[in-house]
Amino acid sequence: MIGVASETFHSLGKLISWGRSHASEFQTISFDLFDTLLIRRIHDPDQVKLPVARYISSLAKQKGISRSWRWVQNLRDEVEQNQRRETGKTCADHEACYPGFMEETLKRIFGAHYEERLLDQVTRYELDMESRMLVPRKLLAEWLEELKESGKRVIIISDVYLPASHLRILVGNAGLLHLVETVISSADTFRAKASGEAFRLIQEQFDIDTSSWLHVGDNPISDGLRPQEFGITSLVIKDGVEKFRKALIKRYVNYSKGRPFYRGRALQQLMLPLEDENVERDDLYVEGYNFIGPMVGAFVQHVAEESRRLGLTKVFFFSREGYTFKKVWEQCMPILFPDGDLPEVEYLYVSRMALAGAACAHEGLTRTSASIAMLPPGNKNFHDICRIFQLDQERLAPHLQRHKLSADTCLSPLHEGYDQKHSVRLMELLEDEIFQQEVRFQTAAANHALISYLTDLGFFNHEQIAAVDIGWLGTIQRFLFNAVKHRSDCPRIHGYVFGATRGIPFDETLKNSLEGVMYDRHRFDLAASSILYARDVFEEACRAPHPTIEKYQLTEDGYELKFRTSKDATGMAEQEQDRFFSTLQQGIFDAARAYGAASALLGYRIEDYRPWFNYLLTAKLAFPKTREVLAIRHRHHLDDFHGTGKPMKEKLKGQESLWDQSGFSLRFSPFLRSRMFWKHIRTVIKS
Amino acid sequence: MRRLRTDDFDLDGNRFFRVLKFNLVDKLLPIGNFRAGTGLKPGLVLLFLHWFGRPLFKVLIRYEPHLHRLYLKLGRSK
Repeated sequence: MIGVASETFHSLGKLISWGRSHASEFQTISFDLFDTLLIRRIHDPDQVKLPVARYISSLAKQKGISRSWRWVQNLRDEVEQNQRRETGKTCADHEACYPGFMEETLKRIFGAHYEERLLDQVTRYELDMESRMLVPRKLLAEWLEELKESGKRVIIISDVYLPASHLRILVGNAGLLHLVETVISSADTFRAKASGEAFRLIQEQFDIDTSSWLHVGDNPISDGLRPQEFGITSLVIKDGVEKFRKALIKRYVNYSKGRPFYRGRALQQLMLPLEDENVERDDLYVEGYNFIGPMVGAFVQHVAEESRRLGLTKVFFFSREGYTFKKVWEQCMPILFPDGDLPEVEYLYVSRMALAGAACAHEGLTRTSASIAMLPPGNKNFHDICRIFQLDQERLAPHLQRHKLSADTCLSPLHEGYDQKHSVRLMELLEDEIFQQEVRFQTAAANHALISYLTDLGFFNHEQIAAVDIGWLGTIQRFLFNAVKHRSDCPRIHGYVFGATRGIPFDETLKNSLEGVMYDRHRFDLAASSILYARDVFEEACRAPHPTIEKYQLTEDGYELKFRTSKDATGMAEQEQDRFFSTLQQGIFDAARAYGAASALLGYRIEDYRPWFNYLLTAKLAFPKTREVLAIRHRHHLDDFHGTGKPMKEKLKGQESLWDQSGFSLRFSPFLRSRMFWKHIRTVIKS
Repeated sequence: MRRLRTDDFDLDGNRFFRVLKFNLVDKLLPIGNFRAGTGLKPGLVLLFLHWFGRPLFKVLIRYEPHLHRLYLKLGRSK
């Protein structure tokens, strides 16, 4: 055929302009799919096969078949190549068809254990993985809408091993299926664009006049020369910006293989929004997506991995920060661990205040518990202890008097009126069995209510559970364990916290352990210790938008959970804080979805990401820009544990952190960050 | 209001120049465990790509077939 053009464009905008201006000359417009209508986040399409190989390997392991994912991938490649060779004997194109070669691959791996549903499972996962890596090109999607509206026939033609039925799923997930008449794949007929046979077949099948047929694609031969030879006008896009994007991700991924620092950076590069995903957001959303989100994703991934390794059967996410962790878990786990070998999950309504009293029901008020109660600088005397442990002060007054104490006796060295002998007397009081009997009596009801609540949730039905919280001393887990450890069916609790500061030593036993995942004081890590700069930011970022639980209460019917009122000044302030941080939280949730797919593709774990997270924590928390501090510094932080006492100013001198400084100070105080970091180093080394 | 991704496909709020700066400071004064960090050559390559890649590839794409032939020739001569 003569007089037919094949034009190459280096800009998608110009290609579409040409297409729009010549649209009236064509009735049928066909598009290539991959790298034309849809682009991939990853530079190499074969990388998408690797998580599928890992999935098959884990499914095989469930059947007692031990095959590494590399072995699985090599077998898949071998079977596919064999199929292509066979096809090449009778067809011009050496094509393969996914259901065919994948079924054979699975049969060879599973042997007698092979089931029909395996192919279905693996196919669904591969298509899910592909979908998450594919992004529709915004300009082409807009043009497709116009073409559909003007009544043009729009066809998608792809040379790929996935049959049309699978491609329809990908096109549908990209939101384009309703705009096209049909999707054609070389995998169904083994006739591809590469030889030109596909165009002949389509022309016969759909009775298309080649003179009014326009084809758009990215391959100069399959989408340029071959259609032109067949008499079809073709437009080839060679997009320099796309090439640039792929060059970047390729380098990050390749460098990450030899340099661990780049693994986290490659993760975030894969998580970047493309095309019309990259809309304007506020500062908090950006920090939620680009800073906190990936770390929360990695934390939750680690909990899942440990749960699988240790055979834990249930994960309890502690309120209120566990709200975010649980939501991230729900987003990430289906793609990270598609074999489903995961524990049940539950959101557990707990708090230090609610558990404090219940924890005293069997062993009384311990020294450690009293020390924890006196930690907040605002806590001063026995009034605070009674408030925290929900004790009746009047009934305990005679016991206090016996030890020459009163409710007003100052027990904290931070407050005026403190004397060391007050602490000695307090220790003697705690050793008084009669006092402890009264404490146990007063807290028994709270303990019963807690036990009833836990029983309803099946807490005691498991031998080993995971407890997930933000941190920092592990007080909630400590109190919870103290409240239930007397029971013979008390499960072994594996605690995972975002950061473990261990200011008060955590009594690790066989039945109760704690691990700080991002930061743990037991594991010297200067960079990760930067988390100590702004713990409240992480708490506020992850906190659930509901009030904290105050106590467990017995009722006539059983028990009830009493939540703090949200109507008082503190409650209203907290709601304002929730509203302020809502976009940051949304950023974390949106990042979770992207994190799951990216981490599944790369196959990395938290230890791989740690160098990058160390950099993030140091850069963003220890050496932040002023704008960053002012944007994400929280406005209000509720701490129910905190009393209203006013400690002496000289005792609190030097405790101000970088994140408490004013904007003026952050901008103009010379070497402020370096000075604060030096002070931080000294604190971390000395503690 | 900002976008998550910059026009040079970098992370907004944490551009690669900041990453490289930190890593260079870390070489002089250890500020954390970055496990060998960015490396000077990979770091400079990525920085160059982020800063100049967009206009560079817009030019290079036009000569892709020629460059491809050149790379093949260089590969054969190695």
